[in-house]
Amino acid sequence: MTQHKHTAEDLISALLRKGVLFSGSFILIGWVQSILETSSGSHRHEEVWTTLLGGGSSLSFSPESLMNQRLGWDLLLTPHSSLWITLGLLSLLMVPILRIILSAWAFYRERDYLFVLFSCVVLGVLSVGLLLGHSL
Amino acid sequence: MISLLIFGISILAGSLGAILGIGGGAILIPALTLGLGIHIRYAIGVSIITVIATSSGAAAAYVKDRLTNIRVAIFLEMATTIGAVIGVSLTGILRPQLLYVLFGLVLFQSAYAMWKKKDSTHLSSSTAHPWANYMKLNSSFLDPAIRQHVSYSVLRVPLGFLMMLVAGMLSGLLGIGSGILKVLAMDRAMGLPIKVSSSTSNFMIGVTAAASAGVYFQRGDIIPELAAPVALGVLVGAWIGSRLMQRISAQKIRKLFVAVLLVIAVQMILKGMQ
Repeated sequence: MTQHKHTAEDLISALLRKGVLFSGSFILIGWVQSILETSSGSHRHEEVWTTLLGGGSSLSFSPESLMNQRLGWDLLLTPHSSLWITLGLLSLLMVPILRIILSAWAFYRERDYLFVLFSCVVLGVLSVGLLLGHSL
Repeated sequence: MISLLIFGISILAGSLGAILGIGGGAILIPALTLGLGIHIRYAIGVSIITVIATSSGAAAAYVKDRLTNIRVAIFLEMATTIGAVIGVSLTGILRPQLLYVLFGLVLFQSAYAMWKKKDSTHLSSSTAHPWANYMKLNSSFLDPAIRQHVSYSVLRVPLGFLMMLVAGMLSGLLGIGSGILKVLAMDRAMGLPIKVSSSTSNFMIGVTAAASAGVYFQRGDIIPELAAPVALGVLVGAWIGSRLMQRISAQKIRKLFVAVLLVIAVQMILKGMQ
């Protein structure tokens, strides 16, 4: 079982590190961009902050709304801070899910079928949870 | 600029979260709502991102250093995810007010028990639960704070599993405290060293949070302007925290955990009495 150079731990920690760097750099690009957008005269971010700090709850932002607005070439041609941030956040979300898939594979490689089963149960319950979440 | 201030607060929340195995929402939510006047809706939305960022950011280091017990984590994740799904389904059926008070009291009692407990560097393997032997849950790690290998066995596996089920239910029902309860279950029921409990909890919390994050995204509760400085701050904080934790002694981590437990216990009881 120890003939593999990389243990499950090595694989998982590499995935976590790369996932965090990948999503973090998207968020960083978006953050810097939002600061540039504000200083170049766009008032949108200022309005958001005024509402946020004023205790307002009327703001709503979903990835779908962003996609619908700017789908197509427009999306590529107009660099948009919210888009970068959202892509970063969504990929950050994927990291723990990918981690379970990777551990199922790592345990399979080590012929540890009980833990392959455990990983699959966790994935299954998570999918049920996601479906439940959408119906709530 | 306000987003730099939020970035700074998030570094603090992220490093404390990484050291203690909690998401950091307990620190970030009051700072955003009470401190900056931001509506609770967005504070909770962004705290879900905090949990995932703390978890993935710190776990990269902990897993590599074998501090995280990934076998224990995956075994217990079955309990927490099932519990969370049950908890979410129960919202609206159970009245949460009483649960908050009850949860607060449990935390007070746990704070007392954790204060008294001592970490030893070697736990006899003869006391390991038979399931722990069968599933190869027992392990060891190098604690740089004492420059020693700490080997440990996992006790009372079924009780730990059951406590995780309850922990998952409560966090699904109340939307909070999943990290705190996970650390408590591993520390108190399964007898894991505090560093293993907190880093394994850290590893686990991201999964449950990722499952519920979709709902918050859909509802539009996650505002990019707020989420960007928080996520980046927490990632930086988690990285710092994961370095610090290795060097801090187990006793100090335990005391820090007790202090945060007390703060959260008070928050819960106040919330229940509203």
